[in-house]
Amino acid sequence: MTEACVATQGMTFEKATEIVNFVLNVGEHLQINGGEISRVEDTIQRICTAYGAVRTDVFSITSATFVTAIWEGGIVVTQSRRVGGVAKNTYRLEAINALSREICQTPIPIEEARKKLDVALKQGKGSKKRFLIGSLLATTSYAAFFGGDWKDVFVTFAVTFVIVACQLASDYLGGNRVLANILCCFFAGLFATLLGRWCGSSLTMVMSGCIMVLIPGISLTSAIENLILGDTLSGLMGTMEALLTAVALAGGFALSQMVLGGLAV
Amino acid sequence: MTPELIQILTSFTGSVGFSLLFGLRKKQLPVAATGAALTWCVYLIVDYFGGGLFLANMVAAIFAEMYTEVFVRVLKIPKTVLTFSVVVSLIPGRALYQTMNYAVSSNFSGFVHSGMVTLSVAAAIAIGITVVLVLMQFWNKVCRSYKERKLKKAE
Repeated sequence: MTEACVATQGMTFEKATEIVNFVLNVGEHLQINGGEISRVEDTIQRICTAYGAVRTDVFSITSATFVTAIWEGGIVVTQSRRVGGVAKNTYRLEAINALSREICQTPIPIEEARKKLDVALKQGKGSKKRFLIGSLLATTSYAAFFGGDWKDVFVTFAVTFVIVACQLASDYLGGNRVLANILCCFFAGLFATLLGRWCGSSLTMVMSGCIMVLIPGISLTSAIENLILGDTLSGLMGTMEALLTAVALAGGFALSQMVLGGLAV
Repeated sequence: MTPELIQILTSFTGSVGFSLLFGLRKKQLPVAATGAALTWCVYLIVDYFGGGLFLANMVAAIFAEMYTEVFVRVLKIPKTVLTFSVVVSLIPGRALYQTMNYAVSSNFSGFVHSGMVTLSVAAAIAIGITVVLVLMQFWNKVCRSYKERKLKKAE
């Protein structure tokens, strides 16, 4: 008897509940780590089918997922999950994806699948060093890209440390994302202006480079994709979130200029 | 070094930075960065032949999305992050900053002009991505129905 048969035969309500709970875990972590809505829905549907469900209805939006799975013998399980937090970790996304593919081919017992998911979620812990190097490389490159000279690149390099410190501090405090963006842009604007006054660098070039790591590019890209692929609600939510972030950045920058303008007067 | 060459080089290194931020594997970094540099080359070529801001961004976005579609299949990786790392050079960071700056300094005409530039670039990128996505959806449907027909015939 194959493993698949062992996992799917003799379905009970308790077993079905565990399966739906597990697929919701998979869906939740796919979404948190940057998976598209269509991928989340598709994965949940495929795993339920692999575990013998005759019909699976999934509805997923950026902040929640609902699943109803029906097995033969009148077993119907409905569960919902509130999805929160954004990690955007490709490493984990790939690991969860690989696991779901594996389960679809051979539906292993649910306890084993759960353990494998735990292992996948421990992979690719984003190090602070990687975050700092990535940010420095991105901001300084784009300061030069937009036409900045070596002075601008140097100031951008220094201001990036401030941005990274603000981002790490806001992560640590678990604070509001809009507030975190306002603070990041406020301190970036403040330091860029002060360093610019000291060494004569161009505020435009420095802030243009720094803003590249702050603007919600990835959220907007996936929001557009969701909109086009027919997940209108998620697309609209993502777009609104991206716009709100842009407004928060503008607010933070405006605040820094007001403070420095006030000081100049 | 000409400004164009600097832009191509920095779009490469900038994309490496973003790829690091989003946790791409080391093997995938060169793919993303080369994609970003090539996307900027496409932008420069279209711009050189008088394409203008909108058209150049749109054509470059079409190229970026096609490049992503190919490498997502070759490397078997999720699409969202690679798309952004490739298309990142087109994102109008400078125009967005200028829009903010004009808003802060109460320069209304400058604000409207920069805002329109930012929006038109964003729209051009979105349209470029949409074109490829819609074509890919169509292509996938054609492939699926072809396979189904083949299976039915075999039965």
